[in-house]
Amino acid sequence: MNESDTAELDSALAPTAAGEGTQSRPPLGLEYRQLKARTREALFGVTDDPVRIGRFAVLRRIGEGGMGVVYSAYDDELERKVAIKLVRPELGLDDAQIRIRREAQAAARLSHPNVVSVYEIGEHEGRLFVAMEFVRGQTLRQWLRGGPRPWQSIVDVFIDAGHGLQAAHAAGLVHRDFKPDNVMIGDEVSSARGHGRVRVLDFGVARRVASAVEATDDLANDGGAAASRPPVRGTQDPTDPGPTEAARSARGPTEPGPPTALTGVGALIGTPAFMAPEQLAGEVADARSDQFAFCLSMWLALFEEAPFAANDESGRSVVRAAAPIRLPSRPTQVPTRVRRLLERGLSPRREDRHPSMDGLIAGLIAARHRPRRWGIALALTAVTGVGAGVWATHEPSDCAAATAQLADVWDRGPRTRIHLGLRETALPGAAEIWLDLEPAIDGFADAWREASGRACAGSPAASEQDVALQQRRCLSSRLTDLRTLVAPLASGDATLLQAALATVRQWDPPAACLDPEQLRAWAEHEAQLNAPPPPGSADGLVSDFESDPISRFGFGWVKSTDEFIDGTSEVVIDLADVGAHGSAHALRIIGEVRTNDRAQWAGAMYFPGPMAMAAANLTTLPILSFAARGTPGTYDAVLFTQVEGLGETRISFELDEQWREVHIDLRTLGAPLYGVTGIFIGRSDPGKFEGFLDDVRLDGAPPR
Amino acid sequence: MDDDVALLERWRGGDARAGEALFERYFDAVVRFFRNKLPDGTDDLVQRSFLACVEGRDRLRADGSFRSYLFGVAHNLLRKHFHARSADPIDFTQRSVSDMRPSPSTIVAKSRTHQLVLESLRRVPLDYQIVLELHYWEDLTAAEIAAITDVPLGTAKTRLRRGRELLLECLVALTGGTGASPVGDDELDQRVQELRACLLL
Repeated sequence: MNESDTAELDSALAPTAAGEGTQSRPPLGLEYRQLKARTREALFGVTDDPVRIGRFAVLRRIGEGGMGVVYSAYDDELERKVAIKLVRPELGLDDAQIRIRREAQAAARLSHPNVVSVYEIGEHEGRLFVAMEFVRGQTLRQWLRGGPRPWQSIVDVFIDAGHGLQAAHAAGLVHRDFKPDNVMIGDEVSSARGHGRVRVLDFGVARRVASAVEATDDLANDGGAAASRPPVRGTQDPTDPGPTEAARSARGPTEPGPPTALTGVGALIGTPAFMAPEQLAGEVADARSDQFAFCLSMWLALFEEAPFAANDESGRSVVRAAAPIRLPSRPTQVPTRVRRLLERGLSPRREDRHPSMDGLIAGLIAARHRPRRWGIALALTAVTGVGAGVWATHEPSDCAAATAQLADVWDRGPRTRIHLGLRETALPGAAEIWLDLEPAIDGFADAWREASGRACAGSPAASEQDVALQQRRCLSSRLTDLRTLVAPLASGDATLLQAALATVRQWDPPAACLDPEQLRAWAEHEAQLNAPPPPGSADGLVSDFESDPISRFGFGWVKSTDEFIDGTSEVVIDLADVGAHGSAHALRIIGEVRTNDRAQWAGAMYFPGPMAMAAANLTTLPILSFAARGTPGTYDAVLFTQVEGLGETRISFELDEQWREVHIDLRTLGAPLYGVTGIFIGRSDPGKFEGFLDDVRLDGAPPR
Repeated sequence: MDDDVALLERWRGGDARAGEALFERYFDAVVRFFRNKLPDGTDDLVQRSFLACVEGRDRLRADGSFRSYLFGVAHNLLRKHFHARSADPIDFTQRSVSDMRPSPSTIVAKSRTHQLVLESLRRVPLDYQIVLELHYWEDLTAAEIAAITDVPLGTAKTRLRRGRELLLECLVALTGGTGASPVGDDELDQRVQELRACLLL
């Protein structure tokens, strides 16, 4: 710009240039007209005729997404409020419109309580609009942000949304862009569900638009040759930082531009972060692609972190095909079973996922409503010296003995020890937590006493004596839980106290033992765990209660009376001898075994193939050290915790054929040391545990 | 523009129809002024710009136009708007809209080139962006811009020249910072002017 330019412009300035005039102006957008109408009304109190889309009078703008703007509007004819999605003008291509229209019409025929109904599809000034059910509520994403939600509620909401997907799939529709933003939760609260009606939004609209535009762009680029696709899709690669937000709208269909970072229609619309690998690869999405997006959304909701390690530049987690599932790094109360269902749904290859949403939903419902898993906690305490000891010596045949046991577990003695421990260690935070923990334990103990009293009240009829005995056994096991919880508290470790607090709070009330259904569930587990060892074996394999085809391993716990001696002990048991699965070989147990009441157990896992397993009472062993070697690669140490809901924690380390010492500071895992029941060390393989170590020794024992 | 000034006087005197006439005439210009500087919340500032005119008691300078007066009001409101959202004083010769409000523009341009220019405008410091946009989109003279932004004529001229250089630098930076600008020096003026149409969509 030089002086003469300016002068030229100065002179060219015509007086009429100021007035915009109304002559020969292209029709202006809805946005503009609404802004003008609002401003005019504010200034002059004059209300213009309502701006209309089709026959719907636009009320206000309620949102904006990749594919267009959403307005609330009023249907004068049917006297109801509707939501209208007005597709962006650059998407208003003929070809795309036809496809969108066809999809939306299919969606309009779908009527399901968990799907937002589509009322009408039409055209507004060359732009496609979809009028749909107006839902007063919030999106699932907003709901999740609205506060910590218990896992049960999250699972419930997703089950409902899953029903919506199921119905659509049954009608041959694929959503293609399932994500928390596309699920609405109504404000109406149903007392039965605890949340409003859940409805999946934008069926068959969102991704269809994207693929239509993508196809059109390809046409514009080079006549639609498939070869043009990879560079265009290049920016969909999650590892690619992708186009900036500003550049999202930089593309018009008329000017595709070269495949630089500023192009990329796939990123223009849609949500690559939730897309299944096959969608990212440009393949046709099917119901299993929706399943993937569903599982990813649910995983993020439940664990608040991504199941895949890959991140794009902005820190968003994105999917990478074949990336191994990353287990939640924080303790979680979500049942392992739920996680496993999601892991399967997140398989990179769609053949590996659930065959349909039906199986996944059924599994989620079962996991959600099954009685609290007594399994792990009981199984493990049952093989501890504590559990077994109490069990053996205090068969709760009479009520007085049972009550005496409570005094033993939670009385002035234990309390004083913990008080002293807290004072001695004076660790920060512990005392504050104790202020909450002590009353919580008191509450549990009181409830236990009360339930125990009820169980003992009166003398049961002969026909009910079995039930009465079972109730007392159940109660006794709850006491064992409490004892295991209380025992290590005197260490004053704040993390441990916090974990204990979380644990107590989520325990079922002891009165559950009096509930016939829950008692039955407990008894079934108990029977499994206490099944007599197969004849001829020296040591009994307690159970192989967890064995599933995905992870291809099972584990059980060996209860031994004779072979374990004080100190670190190594026991090798031929699994063939103890009746384990025929494919498993040796079971090696290396554990700290003591005969005092703190750590009298060892655990082990068996495995189809040579393996190693270490187990120890880690409350006294915050650093796990061992020497190991293995076939070169990454291995995982998986920490199992006894506390239900705290789940598993995994840490990876590298090994090769050389012996090397591995030290794992368990405190850095973020896992509470309380209740750690074992460590499994194995070769990591995406989504699976597989492989073996040649040998593992605890306590940094020198290599052989 | 005696007509405008007379309309304003009548509006101030209570004649709403005069006000509506002014509104009809200048609504678009005011929207354009705010549109590329605030991704949202344009409503309030547009409305207040007109309100400030009608509620103002200051008389327009004999040589001044209503349009310049209105832009002057809008300009002040814009600066106050940014200041109100910042704890520290903002130097508008240094900070750009993109610095202060990093959210993306919601304006859709008709081509990638235009979108790049639009984004570049948001990345030059605000004082320069204002001058450039007023110059290219409203055809205002350096003298008028100087009056609107309350700076000496020399400063306004310098800002026009320097602003144009900065705009080209931003364009180069936006496209990777390696090669030449995607918009040649010779076609820059044309491209910026063409953007005017997309601001009201």
